[in-house]
Amino acid sequence: MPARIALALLLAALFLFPFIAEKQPYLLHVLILCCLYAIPAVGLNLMLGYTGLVSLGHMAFAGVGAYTAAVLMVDARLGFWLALLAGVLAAGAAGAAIGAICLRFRTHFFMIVTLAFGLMLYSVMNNWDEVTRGAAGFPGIPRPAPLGGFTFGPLPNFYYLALAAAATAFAVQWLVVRSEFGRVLVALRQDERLAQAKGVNAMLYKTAIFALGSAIAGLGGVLHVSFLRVAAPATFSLAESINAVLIVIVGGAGSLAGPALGALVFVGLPEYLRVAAEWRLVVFGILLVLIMLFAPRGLAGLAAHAWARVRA
Amino acid sequence: MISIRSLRKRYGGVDALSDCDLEIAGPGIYGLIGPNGAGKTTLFDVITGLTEPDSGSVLVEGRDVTGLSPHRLAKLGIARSFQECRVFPEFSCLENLLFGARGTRDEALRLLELVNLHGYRDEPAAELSFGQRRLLEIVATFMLKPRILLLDEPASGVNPALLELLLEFIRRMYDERPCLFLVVEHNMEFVMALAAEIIVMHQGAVLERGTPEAVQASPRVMEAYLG
Repeated sequence: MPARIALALLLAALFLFPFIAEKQPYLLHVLILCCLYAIPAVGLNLMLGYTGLVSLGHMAFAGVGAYTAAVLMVDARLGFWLALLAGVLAAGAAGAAIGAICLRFRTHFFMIVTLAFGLMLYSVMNNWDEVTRGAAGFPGIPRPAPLGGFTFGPLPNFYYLALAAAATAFAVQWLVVRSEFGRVLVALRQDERLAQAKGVNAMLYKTAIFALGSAIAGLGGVLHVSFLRVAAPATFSLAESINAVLIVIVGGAGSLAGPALGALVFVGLPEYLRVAAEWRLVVFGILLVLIMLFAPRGLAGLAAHAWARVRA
Repeated sequence: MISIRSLRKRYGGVDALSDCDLEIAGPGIYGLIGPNGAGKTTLFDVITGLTEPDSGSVLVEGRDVTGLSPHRLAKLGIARSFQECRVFPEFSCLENLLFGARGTRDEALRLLELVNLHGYRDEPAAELSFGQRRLLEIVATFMLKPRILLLDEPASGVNPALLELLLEFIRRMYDERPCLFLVVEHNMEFVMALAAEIIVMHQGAVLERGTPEAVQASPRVMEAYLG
């Protein structure tokens, strides 16, 4: 019950945030970015945290969703919401197809193959000028079309969309983790051979979660480029995929709140530390090392430990 | 019930299975013994789909199941335990028993009680001692209600007090639901007390089979063990 009350209070605070921070659009901008980074991280958390699949090409699937939607909206004049759906489905389908290949490998071989596919997809985004507009980026991506008179142009309005999308991703994560499907994923992470010996079709389950994780990344990708009004290959590069892994691990792999905490630290903190100019990345690096040293289960693990001590 | 026909499996320059033939007609508790490297675990791995043989076939009740994936073989009623003891460490004892189970929660609780693990039902399996984890692993295989159960060194790492409990438990499970139990074991006292028939493997093939008394008296078996 206290957890539900805390969640309700948090949601209320997030909902009221635009009113509180009315004169601080920059803070709102950072919070939107936190939501947009947290969404792909949720997809990766399902793969890495719950199933034990460390993908180093995750953000490339966000790119598949983003560019699919961009082409459909700008070149094919499709409405935002249908393009969003198409982007999510395209990312999920790419995840299923590429996952079916990558998942034939295990451990570090799997990581290397996902990295290779990530680089390939990045190459396509960067070099296929006729479709993706290449390294210069894909400009002119519209903000979402109004819904029932509610427009998404103004920053606070887009904030609510990003918040709703992030909440949806977290709700999907919660449903998966609570389900029998989620239980099998956790079993696969602990001991795949044993799970197979008990009748689990490991390949099927892992491909399904790879596809779902990629589809969630696609959702984040579409919203990201719609927010920035431009799709740039750098947003979906290897560096961004590694950032996504760090967000999940720092936040707490295999915990429901991990991606949110990770995104807050990973996106929010460097922005906050901008005042320290060139020192900010050094400070941030030291903080990451400290988190790994003293909170191996990430910030969510640290929070759970602190909460247990308070209750005791 | 199970027919192994001319199975061959080679690892590098070593024949783990070398034209291995084995026919087991019906339910019963069978011991599978042999010196280290005789091919016992490889045979289990081939039967359960974890290893693909180079040639030969495995037939279960007349159906060729060679090369089927482990999960499909599990669905066909072939269950196993592992030499290195495998449980889900983060799951509680009860959750371990219920994962993939064909039995009910009440049955799981009864089985935990039979091996004195009832008090640990909600504890993560990682908290148990090695011997208790081994018991849990074996108990969990019975929850799958198998037609063929392969136990790979169930007595390994289990202290004498728990060993007696384990012996009684396996016998009881067989009495309640007779099927084919094939038990790989190096603890001779344990396997001779448990099995009605002993199969001896040596250099990747079946060397001898018979009652525990006959096998213990066999000069060929003596030679295989003592070299």
